[in-house]
Amino acid sequence: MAKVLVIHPERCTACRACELACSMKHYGEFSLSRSRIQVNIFLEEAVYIPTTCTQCDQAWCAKICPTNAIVRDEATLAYKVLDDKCVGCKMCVLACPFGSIVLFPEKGKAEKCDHCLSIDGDPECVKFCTPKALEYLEEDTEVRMRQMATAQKLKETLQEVAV
Amino acid sequence: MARAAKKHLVIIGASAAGLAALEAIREVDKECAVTVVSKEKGPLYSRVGLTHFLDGTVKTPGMNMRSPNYARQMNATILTGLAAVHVDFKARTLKLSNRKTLKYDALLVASGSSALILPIPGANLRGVYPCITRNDAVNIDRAIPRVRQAAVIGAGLIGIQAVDALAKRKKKKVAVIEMMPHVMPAMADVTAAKMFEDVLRERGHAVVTGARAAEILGKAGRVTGVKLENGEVVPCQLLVMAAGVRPNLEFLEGTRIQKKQGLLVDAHQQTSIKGIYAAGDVAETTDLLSGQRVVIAIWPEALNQGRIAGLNMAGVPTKYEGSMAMNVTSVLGLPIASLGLWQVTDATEYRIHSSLHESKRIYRKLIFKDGRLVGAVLVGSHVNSEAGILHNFIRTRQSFAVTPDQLVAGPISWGRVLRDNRRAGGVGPPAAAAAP
Repeated sequence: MAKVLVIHPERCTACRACELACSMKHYGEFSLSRSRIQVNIFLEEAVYIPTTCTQCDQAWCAKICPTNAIVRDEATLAYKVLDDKCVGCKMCVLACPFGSIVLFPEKGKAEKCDHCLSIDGDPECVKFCTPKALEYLEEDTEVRMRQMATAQKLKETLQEVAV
Repeated sequence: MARAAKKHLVIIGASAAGLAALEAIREVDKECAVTVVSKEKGPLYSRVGLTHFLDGTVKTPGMNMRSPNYARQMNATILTGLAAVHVDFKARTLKLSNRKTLKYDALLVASGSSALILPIPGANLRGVYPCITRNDAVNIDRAIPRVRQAAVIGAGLIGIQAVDALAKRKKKKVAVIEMMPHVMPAMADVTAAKMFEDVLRERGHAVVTGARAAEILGKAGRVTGVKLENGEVVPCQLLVMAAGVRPNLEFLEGTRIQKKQGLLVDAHQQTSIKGIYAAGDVAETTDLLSGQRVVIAIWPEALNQGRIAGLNMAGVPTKYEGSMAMNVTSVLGLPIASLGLWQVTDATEYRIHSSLHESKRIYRKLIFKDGRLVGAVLVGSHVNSEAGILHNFIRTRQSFAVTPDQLVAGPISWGRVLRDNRRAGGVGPPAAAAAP
């Protein structure tokens, strides 16, 4: 069953526990800069928007990858990086229009949110999100609708912020 | 009535452009016959992986780019170890190096480039290698353990990545010799190039710019050094020749196909000969941003152009929006990305904004034309978060309500740009560009 990471920005309190949980699970350290989920904090407007990889259906990172190192999990439809295939060329970094795939010299391999598939398939950020701004749900019509509603709200929020 | 023979599409080259074409053909036509001809033997591999194999990031299988049963999955014939020898435009046949001929309905020339070997004495000494095929990379890999000093001629993308790989392996000292006034002339401006020259020199590597190799010196048939035109000698027991590439078009020499830097193609990637298409390093296309004719020999363009060629060959008319220069790499841990018309210097036609933190090694240069971003150079860790976003801004011709100075100050993130744009009463969020 396809699964989605649903983000509710209006519930986010900018505590950044998701970022800490993510970096701890994947790198064994509390490091905001290594987190695969980012909380965009607009303090003046009190608007907080977590963003991470959208697991695009047409994933440019996967399409451009010269060694087919970015593969989609057939069950959950999330993409993960195969470390023994990734050569570290950074073309995915150029290709992703959202800046959601990165490469640090220490590891030398592309890194992106894979819904924790490379570890246990249980997204750590969701477990530590007290206000439930993050949810990991099976994709069905209702979830789709909720996502659409969230996107709509996000759009309105941004428009309000701008005024 | 006899059934018409199945359409036969032939592709010369099994790298980015060739395989992108094959895959595009199969998206729209599962039936037609497709033959792919590759000069090299062995599993299909990616040239992008070569220097990353050298630095130890992946082993040889890591360079492979398709599964062993790829040909069956694609319902295609893949002939390896065979080169194109001659094309008969009238009969529509391609002669191969085994003297067999293939009859085609449409032909794609995606034969790529070969390394340019400088015509100087000593170029055939043992220990001198180009770095453009898997064989080259394996040869260099084997040579590394027995050398003390390595040198690289040419500080382009391949050359500088070879320097990076050699420097990482056993912490070898490397010398790089570049003909142009600064390193990485095809992806860095003077400011960015200096940052890389500094990084290399700080770690004890030698950077020689504005210098030509006159002769490769040897002893008992093995390389011992490079003599420069000014008489100076750079000692080395391993020399990587990365002085540039030339398109593999020998088999079209003397024909009437139109050629300048590469084969001239129209927006459908078709050459001046009907039914013959070209993509990748051999194709001269139109630059998306400047409108000028260009050969942009990079992986992403090979993919884009190959895909367009494949669709047209399969009978689905598809136009290409144009090519766009882009490069990304890192040298000794310092990343760089350059995009679009990053080279322009004409301040009357373009607005050029830059910000530089020398000590932190962070550089951002943005080039605008008529309020739209047309080019960028980034040096530093922010390549990670910004390169893809800027690429999208350029491709979608995003206009900005924020001033270039605000944008160049950074950091550039979706949230911030969206919000600032809105605040400034600007346009809506840019839609992601349709996949080319």
